[in-house]
Amino acid sequence: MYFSKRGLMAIVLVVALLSMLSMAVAQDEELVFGDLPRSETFIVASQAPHNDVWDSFNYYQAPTYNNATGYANVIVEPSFITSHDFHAWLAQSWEYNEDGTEMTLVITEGANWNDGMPLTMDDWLFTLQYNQENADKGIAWSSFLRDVTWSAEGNEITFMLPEPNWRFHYNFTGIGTFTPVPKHVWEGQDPTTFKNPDAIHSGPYRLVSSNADTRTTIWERRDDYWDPDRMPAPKYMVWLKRPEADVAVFEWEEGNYDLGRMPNSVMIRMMSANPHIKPLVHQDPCPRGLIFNTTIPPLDDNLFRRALGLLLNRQAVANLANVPGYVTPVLWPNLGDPDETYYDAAAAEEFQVTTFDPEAAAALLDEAGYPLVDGARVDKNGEPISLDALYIDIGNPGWTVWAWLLSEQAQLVGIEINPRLLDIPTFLTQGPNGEFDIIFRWFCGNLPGDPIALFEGLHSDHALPIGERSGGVPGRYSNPEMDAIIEQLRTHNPASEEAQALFRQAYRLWAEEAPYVTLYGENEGVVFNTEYWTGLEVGQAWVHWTPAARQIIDFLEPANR
Amino acid sequence: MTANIDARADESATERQDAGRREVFQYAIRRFGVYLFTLWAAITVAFFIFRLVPGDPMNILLGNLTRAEGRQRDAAAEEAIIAHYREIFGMDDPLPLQYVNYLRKAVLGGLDLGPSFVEYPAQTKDLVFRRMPWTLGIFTTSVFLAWLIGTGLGALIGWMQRHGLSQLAVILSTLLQITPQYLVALGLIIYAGYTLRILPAGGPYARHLQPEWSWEFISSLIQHAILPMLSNMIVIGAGFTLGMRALMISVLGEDYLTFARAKGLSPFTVLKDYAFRNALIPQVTGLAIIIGATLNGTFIIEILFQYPGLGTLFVQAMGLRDFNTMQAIVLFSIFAVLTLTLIVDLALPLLDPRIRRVA
Amino acid sequence: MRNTSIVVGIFMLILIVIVALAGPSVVNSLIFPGERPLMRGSYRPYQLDSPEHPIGTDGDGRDGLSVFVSSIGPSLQIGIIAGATATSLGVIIGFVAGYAKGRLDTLLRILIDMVLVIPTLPLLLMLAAYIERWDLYKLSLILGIFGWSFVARVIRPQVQSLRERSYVDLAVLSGENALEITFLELLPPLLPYIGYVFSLSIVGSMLAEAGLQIIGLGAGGLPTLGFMIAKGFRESVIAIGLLGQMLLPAGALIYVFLALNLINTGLDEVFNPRLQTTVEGE
Repeated sequence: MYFSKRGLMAIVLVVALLSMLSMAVAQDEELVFGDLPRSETFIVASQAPHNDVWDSFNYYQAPTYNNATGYANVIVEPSFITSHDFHAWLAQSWEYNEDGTEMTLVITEGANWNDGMPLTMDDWLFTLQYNQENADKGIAWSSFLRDVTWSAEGNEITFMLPEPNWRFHYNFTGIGTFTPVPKHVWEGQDPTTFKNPDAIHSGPYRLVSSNADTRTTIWERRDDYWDPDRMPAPKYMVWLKRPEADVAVFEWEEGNYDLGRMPNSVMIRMMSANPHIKPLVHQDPCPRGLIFNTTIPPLDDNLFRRALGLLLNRQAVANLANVPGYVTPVLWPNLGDPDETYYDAAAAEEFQVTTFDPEAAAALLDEAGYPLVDGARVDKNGEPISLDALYIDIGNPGWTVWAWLLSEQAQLVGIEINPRLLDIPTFLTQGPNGEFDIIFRWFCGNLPGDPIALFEGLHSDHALPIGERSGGVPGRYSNPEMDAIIEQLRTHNPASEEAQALFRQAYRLWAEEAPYVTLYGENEGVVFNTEYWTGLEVGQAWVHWTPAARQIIDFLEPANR
Repeated sequence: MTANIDARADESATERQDAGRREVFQYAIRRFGVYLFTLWAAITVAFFIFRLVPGDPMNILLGNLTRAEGRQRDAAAEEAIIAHYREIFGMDDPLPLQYVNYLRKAVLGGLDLGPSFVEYPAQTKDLVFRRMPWTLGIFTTSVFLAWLIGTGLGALIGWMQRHGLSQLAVILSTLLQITPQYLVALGLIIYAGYTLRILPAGGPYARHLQPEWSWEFISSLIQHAILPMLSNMIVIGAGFTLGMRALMISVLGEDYLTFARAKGLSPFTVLKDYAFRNALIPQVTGLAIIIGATLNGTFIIEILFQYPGLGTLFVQAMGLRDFNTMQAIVLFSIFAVLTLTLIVDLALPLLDPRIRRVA
Repeated sequence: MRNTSIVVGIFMLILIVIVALAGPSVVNSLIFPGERPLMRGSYRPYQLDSPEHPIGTDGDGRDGLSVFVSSIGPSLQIGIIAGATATSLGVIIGFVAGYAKGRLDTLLRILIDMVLVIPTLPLLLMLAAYIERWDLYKLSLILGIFGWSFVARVIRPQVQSLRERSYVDLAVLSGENALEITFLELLPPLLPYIGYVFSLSIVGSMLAEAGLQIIGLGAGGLPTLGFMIAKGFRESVIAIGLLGQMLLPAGALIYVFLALNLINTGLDEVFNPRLQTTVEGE
């Protein structure tokens, strides 16, 4: 025996140390939320504003839709997703008949629910009927089925529409549209009160826990997800409601969140404190504009409205509103659609829809009969003109400063415009109720190849008395010429040449009438932490928009640390 | 010495003890009647205010719904949705009838305060009761502690008002009293929570835990409560200190103190039995007010610390114009303040014999 | 009459009044000649501290320092008008309630308690719908009108307690009427407390005003300290690193309160002779 006792002890000690060290290395994995490995957990810091529902996973209820648990993003899957074009998801394709009175939807076969049950045509038919039967209960995705009948064959559902409708498929494309619910869970339940407590939908995750006190929901990936090609990388998903930005910056800087929204203004600081943090900034799909109340003189005069449009320094507002250096601020002369087949460039030029020209505005006012008397413009009754401009302050300079810039320019031509700050709920009520002179608004819903949403709201159907809620552009605009164009547009296939001509016609009329004017397009962004996960980049579809998390999840890859 | 004085006081008290008792009893009855009337009047006014605030919950709800509903807007469908919710929330009835129904359900229906918009279909009552323990537990406790510390400290500072330390304490508490609570809370979060990392600075307990009787949960609960309590205590405590000091000083000018001191009573006895007692009465009233105001005043702390209490709920409800929930919270706060004031008023004659005569 | 507290307090007040009066034009001519630092959109918003913008620019693209300096004046005015309104209303009602017995006291009592427990924010939101144009004076009066109940609530029991003291009984016996008793016997000992409540309600109004600005009751877009703090909170200026835009307005409020308190303490020492002979602990 060459080993002395001491040597033997040394060897034992070294072995023991080595094994401890290897154990330590094996356990080096950082744990979060009790026992979730950080590198396998994707943490979304959401910021649900008012609704705070953590125990209901009911897709029909508006209060739960905007929740922070992430269920609408993690487990609810759409029929198709839309980015620049459409991608099949729970459904494969759609097709219209010749006159647009029938649409056939091909559903995806082989899908299943996250409790393991298959997702079949039965579930589709059940959901359609369930929605139709409960249409009077004030639930989402029921109104489009009114007077619609359908029949199923194989994996196809054919919808018989009461009148030609080339836009019926919009009810199946994108976030927040019709999607089937499991029959075995929802049968016999009331859509307004059922909570779907086990969160059964078709997505790749299962509910682990959800806590209303700590505002945290934990999801775990399921191995039996129906589409193995789209199996997401993170084993766990944690959705939590982040604290106020003042506090949340520290969480971000410590790398405790992976994805979420933060005010643009704090991004620079966060990025310098934590080099893993990347802002993913895109242009917001809803450009901003101003609506005039067309029932109040002199705003009932389109020349006066256009003169106000000429007083708007849009470039200055856009520059203030946007994060410098990411996406160039855009104005929207073409109502958000880059395709010239849908808008009339000559009309934009002729009616100066984005021009800032106070002199032209003064000339237009003189011409329209609003002369300058003792330094103030007077209306047709000889009274000095005084208007209120309503805005809200959400911390974005663009939303507030326009009113002050407009007020200043208006004063130079002799019109008094008082900027008035409102709290958000009052703003959301006074707007639709038409209780304003000039109000700030965002214009959502314009789809590539179909900008009808930008004109639809101008139909005189929406010109309700002041004080009643209007679903359209709430300026109480009413013009038979515009109505006629909109009514034709509703029944035309947007891809047809007739429709395109109509769109250009509507654009020209809008530019001449200026019932609302354009302001700017805004940059919006989410913050992404690349320390544990990568794969999200500027330019990818959806990446800027947190409600589209289901689509984003598929881009994620573990970071090589 | 003290015993001597007490004995004399007892003698004079015995003379009108019986009459006094009857008077106090009558006073209590009348005071209770006033309490009930005030409660009713305040609730009534609050009811009408909340229904008249601009901002229609239907508009806000529908804003959410239509955002969810996709792209095709449908005026008729929106009407149907509005009609459905208006019916559930009883908004179609004329206001006086709504009021009668509200009172009837609240009183006879076992506190049925209607459904909530914030967490529809949750009942307002359940919502409020779920959030109440957090507010009561953290904020009421901290107000109470702040009151105790502030009163003691204020009395001491007032008593020794010429002492250098006292003047320093006055300046310090003046600074703290007027500092916006938001800054104090944020300062604690940044310093204790993220710089020193000694205490968690957000949420009621660690995010992965569920309420249970385990050491892990309870210790987490306590750790998470320290910073919000502290930020509440600092500001409110400073206010109590200054208030007590001012009261103390005004009492110190009284002749009977000079007399008592001249008699050779020890300064501490004079402080304890004379000055402190007399200054205490308004301070007790102040406590009742502040406890009620806690609900309105500390919501910023609840929000910064992500505490799931009534303050946070009120802000959420205000944002959705959820009048049922706002009303329920205000109802609770009205009830708390008035009841506390009642208790204080009934207890005051015990503290201050002179008030007995007022009654 | 040489009392350091009064001298220091008055000096502090004069200083801030000078800053309020002269500050805006001084800052404008020294740092921003030929510019409009108060015009929204003049600069890129949320710029960090720099020689050009000592405390950065705010979320509306104005120079932070200019906003701060021009906030002081309107805030002081609001504070004084609202504080005086609230305190005098509160003291009068508190005195009447405390002095009177029976029905009047009960009625006032109910009124005080009601105003105290009903939250003012929704009430003000309601008012906002009915008042067309807001200016500084309307705003201050409204604040004062909603602020009195706290004062009344704390004054009333004090009066009640005082009027039962023996020296008040003596005064009654010597034929003083209610007014004389109030002004000669009851008011003097309460003055320090009233002074304290007054300074509290001045600064309280300056802070409360921020809440009104946010719901659209602002005094025509005037910059104020309260609004600066509220806006700073909403826009997370501390997280951005614009500490000055939060600490300066908060500091100014504290400063005003401190100055008022010093004067209050000093006045008390001079005019309250009984304080001179006070019994005191070692």
